Amino acid sequence: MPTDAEIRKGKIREKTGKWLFLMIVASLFELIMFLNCIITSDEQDRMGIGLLCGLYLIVQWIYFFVFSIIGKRRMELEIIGFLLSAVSITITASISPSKLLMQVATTVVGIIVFAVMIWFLESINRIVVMRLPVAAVALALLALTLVLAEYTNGAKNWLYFGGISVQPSELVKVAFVFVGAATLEKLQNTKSIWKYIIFALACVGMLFLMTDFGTALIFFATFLIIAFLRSGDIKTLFLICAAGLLGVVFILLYKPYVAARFSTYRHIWENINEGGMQQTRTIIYSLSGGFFGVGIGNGKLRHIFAAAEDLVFGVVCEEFGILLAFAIVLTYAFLLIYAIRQAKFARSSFYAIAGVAAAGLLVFQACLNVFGVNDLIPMTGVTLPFVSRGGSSMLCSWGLLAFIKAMDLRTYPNVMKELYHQKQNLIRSAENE
Amino acid sequence: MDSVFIDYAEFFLRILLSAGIIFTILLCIAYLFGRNSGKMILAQFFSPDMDMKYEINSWEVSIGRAHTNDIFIDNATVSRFHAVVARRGKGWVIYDTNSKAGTFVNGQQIEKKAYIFDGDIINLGSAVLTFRSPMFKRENAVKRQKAELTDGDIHQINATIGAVTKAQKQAKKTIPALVNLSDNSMILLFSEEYIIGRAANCDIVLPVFTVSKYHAKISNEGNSWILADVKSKSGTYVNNVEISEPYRLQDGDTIEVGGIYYRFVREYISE
Repeated sequence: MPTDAEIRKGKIREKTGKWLFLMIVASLFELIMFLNCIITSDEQDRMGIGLLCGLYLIVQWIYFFVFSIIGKRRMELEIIGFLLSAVSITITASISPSKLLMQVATTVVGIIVFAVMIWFLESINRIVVMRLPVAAVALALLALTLVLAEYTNGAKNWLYFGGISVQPSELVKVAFVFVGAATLEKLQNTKSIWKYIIFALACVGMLFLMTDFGTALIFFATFLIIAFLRSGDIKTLFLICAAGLLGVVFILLYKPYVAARFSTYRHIWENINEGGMQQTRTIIYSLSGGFFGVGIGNGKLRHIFAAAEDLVFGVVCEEFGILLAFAIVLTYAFLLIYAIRQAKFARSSFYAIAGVAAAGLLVFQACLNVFGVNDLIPMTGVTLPFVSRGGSSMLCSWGLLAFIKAMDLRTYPNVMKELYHQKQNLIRSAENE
Repeated sequence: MDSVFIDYAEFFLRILLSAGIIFTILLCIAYLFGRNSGKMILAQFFSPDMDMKYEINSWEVSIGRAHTNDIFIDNATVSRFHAVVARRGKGWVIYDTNSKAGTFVNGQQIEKKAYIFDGDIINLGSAVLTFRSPMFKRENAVKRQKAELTDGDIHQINATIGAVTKAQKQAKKTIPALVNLSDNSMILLFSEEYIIGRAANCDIVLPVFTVSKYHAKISNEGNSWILADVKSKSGTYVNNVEISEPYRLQDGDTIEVGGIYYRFVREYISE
């Protein structure tokens, strides 16, 4: 972080040394992880895994050099994203090597989306212009899914294009945060608040119709965060929660099949080889890994259905160790604390709300996943951000991370310089008077 | 012996991997929580009556009597959510958020929004605030636009103003007019069509950056005068309502073009 004197002289750029060191350390451990995975994988898969993991490392370094050249050298959030994505790539390579190409490709696209969003979010004018089109595209995507999708694993949330499957609700999460924060362009404007409420109701309603309750719950929680940040009124939140609860009670009364989906909750040991198979195995195997895990490729949870997706927390516990698994969960919590702390320094309400809502969404989703696989709450099938296998989820995670990055003034040295000059002018003007 | 060595090596590698990733993540978090950018003071409000100073630290600041506002004014004449001051484009804009007593800038009530500059006096009910942002002076905004104009443009502007003045002098009959609400100056509508905008070749030139180069068109069709927006950035408003298609003007209509207000007078009796 440059000092005031450095800003005055125009030296507002961070020095590269610190970030270069961090990148080297991160790449080193990613390399060890990838090599470990290559050694334990089948011989015919080794070449492919090596090439794809190498490609992922190269993309990270290209990102680092490009952003260093243009002066945006702070890399903490990106390196966290790189490391968590590397864990995901390692698990995918180890459990389902045939799906590694898609996982690496979507991670690379995620990084590109992140970079584009950082550029896009610099200008509040661009944000305001794109608010309505983004809302329209998000609703259209959900409506399209509702019409075209077929039930997969109990929910109607997948679209198939050729051989590629997409989960539009994951992409809509980014749009949901964007539209919610952008409607604050004119504060306390009742009309814009109502527009957002209608948008949120439409999204949550369509997700309920798709029986994608996990995502619906995530949207509802994000809506609560945005509502609180907009109004600062705790009473409003209670009203919204009461309305939401009432809605759920009505649904359970009139649509009993919804409740049936959660019938194994707190009864997993009675259905140990049927409905409770995933949770019981996760609980058993995740602790068997000890502090440092049994090693990549040596776990047993990997043989259970959706090990690299819904049960990925258990796989990390078993193969990488419980310490790393907790460190990953704590990372989400730290992101939220950081976003809340940074909100008061944000240059505009948009950045404050978008950053806190995005971090809140990541934490809430991580809680649903971790608590769900351990039977503390009903299992909803949501992914663990950055770590679970899945392209749509990976794109969403990088998109949300961009909001957290954009809220920090240090991301935009030019804006910081301009704001500094304004402050100096004010001080000078006050002194003259 | 070899097997035991490999087991130890594997165990060491697992510890190294877990510890290394955790160390890197913690280092990133430590940097993340390092010295932040600090609070920026973008502008200030002074209240000489209340002997108070409010700092604007964000690009949008709400003002009102409710405690949840960024600037809280404990005054019964101020609405709970009275106004919002926001940084937009190249300056600061004040929005009236349906307040009861209205928002006034330099004594002029604003209809919906208005650009504010350094030294402007803002009245919210009986509360009086002075806006301070030395980077955004009213005269600089006008100068900046004038600097963009060439000598030819300025000559053309003068010629246009001259033609209007000459026409005003010659006029001896009842004709329609646009009255500028901030200084009561008059534009008499002699021709069949007028283009309003910032560009020098417009018929009515408004050299202010809030006005688009070609902002709006006002034309005579039979007995009526039609106002149309020409794809302007900030829009054209009639009686506070943005017009999306040509609008037939009525006597007394208030027209807003980039923060400049005119009243359309159907039959102005020229001296």
